[in-house]
Amino acid sequence: MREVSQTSLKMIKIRILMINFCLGIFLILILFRGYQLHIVENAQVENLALKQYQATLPIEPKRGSIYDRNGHPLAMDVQTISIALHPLQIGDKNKVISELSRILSIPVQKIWPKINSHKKFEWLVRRIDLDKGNEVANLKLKGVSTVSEYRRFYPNKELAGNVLGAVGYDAKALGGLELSLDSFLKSSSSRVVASRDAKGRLYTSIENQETNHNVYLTLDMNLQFIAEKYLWETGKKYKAASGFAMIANPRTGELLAVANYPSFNPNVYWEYAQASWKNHAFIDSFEPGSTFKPFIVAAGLESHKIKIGDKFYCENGNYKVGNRVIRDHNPYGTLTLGEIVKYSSNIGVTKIGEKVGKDFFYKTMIDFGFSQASGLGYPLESSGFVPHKSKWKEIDRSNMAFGQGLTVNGLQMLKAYSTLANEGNLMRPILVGRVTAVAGDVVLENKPIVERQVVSSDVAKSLSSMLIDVVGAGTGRLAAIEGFSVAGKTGTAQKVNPKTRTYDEHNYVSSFIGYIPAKKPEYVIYVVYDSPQPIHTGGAVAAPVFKGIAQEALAYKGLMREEIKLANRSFSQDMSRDVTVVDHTVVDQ
Amino acid sequence: MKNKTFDVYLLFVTLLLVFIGTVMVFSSSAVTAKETYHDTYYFLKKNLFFVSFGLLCLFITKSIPYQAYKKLVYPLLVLIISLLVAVLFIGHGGGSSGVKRWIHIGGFSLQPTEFAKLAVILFVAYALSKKREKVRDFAKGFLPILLVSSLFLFLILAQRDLGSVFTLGSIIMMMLFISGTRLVYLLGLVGLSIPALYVLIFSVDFRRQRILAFLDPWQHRLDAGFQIIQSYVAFQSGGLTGVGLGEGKQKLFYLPEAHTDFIFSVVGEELGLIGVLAVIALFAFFMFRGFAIALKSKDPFGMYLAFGITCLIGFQALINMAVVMGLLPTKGLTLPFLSYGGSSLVMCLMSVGILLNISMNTGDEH
Repeated sequence: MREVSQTSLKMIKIRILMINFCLGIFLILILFRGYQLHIVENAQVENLALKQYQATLPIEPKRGSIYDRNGHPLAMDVQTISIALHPLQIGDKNKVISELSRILSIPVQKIWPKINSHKKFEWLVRRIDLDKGNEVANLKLKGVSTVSEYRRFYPNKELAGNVLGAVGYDAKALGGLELSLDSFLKSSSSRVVASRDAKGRLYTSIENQETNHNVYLTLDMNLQFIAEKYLWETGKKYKAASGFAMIANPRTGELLAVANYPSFNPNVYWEYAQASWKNHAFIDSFEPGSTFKPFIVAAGLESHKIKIGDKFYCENGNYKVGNRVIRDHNPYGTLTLGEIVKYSSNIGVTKIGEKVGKDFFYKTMIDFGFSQASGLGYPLESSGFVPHKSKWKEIDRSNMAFGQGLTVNGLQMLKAYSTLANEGNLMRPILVGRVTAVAGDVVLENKPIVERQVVSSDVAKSLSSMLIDVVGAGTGRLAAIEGFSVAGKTGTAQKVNPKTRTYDEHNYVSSFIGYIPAKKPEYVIYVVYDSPQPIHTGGAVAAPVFKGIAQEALAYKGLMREEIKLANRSFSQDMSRDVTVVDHTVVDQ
Repeated sequence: MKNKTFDVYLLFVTLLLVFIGTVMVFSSSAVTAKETYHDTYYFLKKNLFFVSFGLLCLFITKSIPYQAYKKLVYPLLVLIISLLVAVLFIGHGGGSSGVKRWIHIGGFSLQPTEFAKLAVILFVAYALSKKREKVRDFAKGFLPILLVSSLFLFLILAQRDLGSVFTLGSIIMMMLFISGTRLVYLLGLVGLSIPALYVLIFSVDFRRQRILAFLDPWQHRLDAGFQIIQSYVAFQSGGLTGVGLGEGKQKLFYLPEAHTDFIFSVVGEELGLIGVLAVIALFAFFMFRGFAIALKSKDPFGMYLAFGITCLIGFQALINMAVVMGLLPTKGLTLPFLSYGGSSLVMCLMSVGILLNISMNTGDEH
């Protein structure tokens, strides 16, 4: 019996080992399968994993802010809530619809199709106010989720709107600084790829993705406000097609205000015609008219072809150049250099041009920065056009001497006048002061840069005193401010009618440009209107705007006492009606 | 001669598996727990309780001389049969197919099938050791064992738990095989089982779906094949070293039953091939020790029992892993020690206790 038991046990053991062996093979099979599933790549599985985990959501990460020079926000992202539906998970559809309709004030029939959709995910509304969004979130409705999103917000509405540009619905920069600074403002990942669970709910925090930068402009919100106020007031009054006003610091090249008329509110850009989004100050190129006259004088003085005491016979208002006749508005006999500028004599500058010659005149214009981009890098910025001297006819030099036959943009004029105000030193214009990372590190800083000395300090000073006379007793009287010396020049340029391709009797570019206080300039201010009606001279339309802006800017700077400011304002309003000063016309024959 | 030392390695490997299981249960259930019970630790807490209770049972069964079960076999069978019958009437649903497999007792739910597996193995081991050479006899040896076992298998089948029927049936056949039953009987049994399995599978819709999904999971990836495809995704994401403990995404409702039947995919995803190899190695080692205990046992009862218990845990583990890896159709079987589930864990730990007792008491037949 015991023998049997022993053999039996032995047989059992052998059979246990057999089973053991079989299970061992099973185990090896599983090991191999493990290797296969883990290591051998399976595109089908990988694609599925990618597709199901990642919800490439049209959610944009937070965009950087734009501030003025003093840190006041001009453009910023504010948190909003977007409401998403997961139609397949919604339990009580009627309840969900009635609650959503009540809180969001959306008609029931607009919610129905989205709730009955067979998609995993469907937006109901995007970027709504936090309190309404939170109200929805607090209901904890099954199949309804809330996602935090950002909306571009311009707290000052229209203020500097045309410079800032706007950001579209999908967080794409549409223009202006938003576009030119897009690489700084937007986060490096332009889209949030959120992870989601199998129920379609997102669990990646969007806050983590901030890699944007903040931008500090050189603009001063208060000066911007002042410039816009005066620009708009007069723009509306004279029904101008468009206009702009700029303030800069002539010693640093910093732009302090860039106002446009008409303007738009970038918060609701879609409510405005595209024409009102335009930043005329940088984009428009136009014939500057008489405001250009100082440059032929500067060319003459710098080249020593003419000197301060020189006198010119102004032909009593009619002077034939080639087969055309140059005219002054009032007939003048002999005028000094200063008087030519003061009375804005076309014949006078034509005569100066004859002495200077095209080489020096052309070189001076290029040195002042005309016919080339300003270096600001603003989208669609024009560079104006000065024909090359080799292509000039005699009449061209004459026309250019009084600012016709060439085009400039506002920035170039501001830069060139700043040079006169800054002892002949041309400063590179600055609009972006500095760019900082979210953590605060400065990644870019624009410090004042002297590009070159264009004219000597003496020439610049001579020009300044001539320009002081323009405001003191010449065409720019309406720009005068009591207690301050103002250097400036009016401009009234006939516009070319695009249909007839000849100068138009009715449409003018009216402008005034000047700096104040003339001896130690704080501000250079340029005011331009396109086609103001019914009056159109720079001295009547733009000079008072210059004055209004300058006065308040000085007061803001603490340079002017309040009562003087107020007295001057009423004075300017009285005067503007009576004065009609036309500084030039050129007649095509 | 009593050998007082028990197999420390077996206990160690068991505790290690239980530890891995607890960590993985927490990792894979936290989100679901938070969502369903508003308590991230819901399943972890319950699992820790089961582990504690299971370990208590392990130390109790370890100290009970296994010979004592010879006398307990029949009362145990009666108890389990009544539970299996009761579950058909007062049972509660759960799991993916919504079948009734649980009995609520006090605050806990009991899954009688899990205990039935151990009871049947006890019975078969007892019957085989008692019948000795008679097992070669069809009427006296083979048939009685087959009839009693079949009663259990039918009761389990009544709960629509084909997976357990298949596993337990296979283990019984393995036990019959090692006892020296004629191979003709076994082959006949297999021959009879195949048509029966075929009918059982293809007459029930969800089983047919599972088989079809098993054969071509991509074709059925939105319904019956969803779980296995998601399991593939988990393994593939895991790669060699895994995405990191707690970092897995599949448990975010992609993978159904992530903390129960499919916990092995979560291991694959979070711990990678290395983790999977480790778990497989631990089970291999467990089986190696278990079979060694069987081989060293000097009396047939201990040998059969040790073999049966080792198969119960090891074979079920292999089947579960094969299912999760798409080598076998989905069955609804847990991975011993790792899957969340009180009855399974307590039963497994009790079984290990018995195994440990056999290990220190090798052969006092005489």
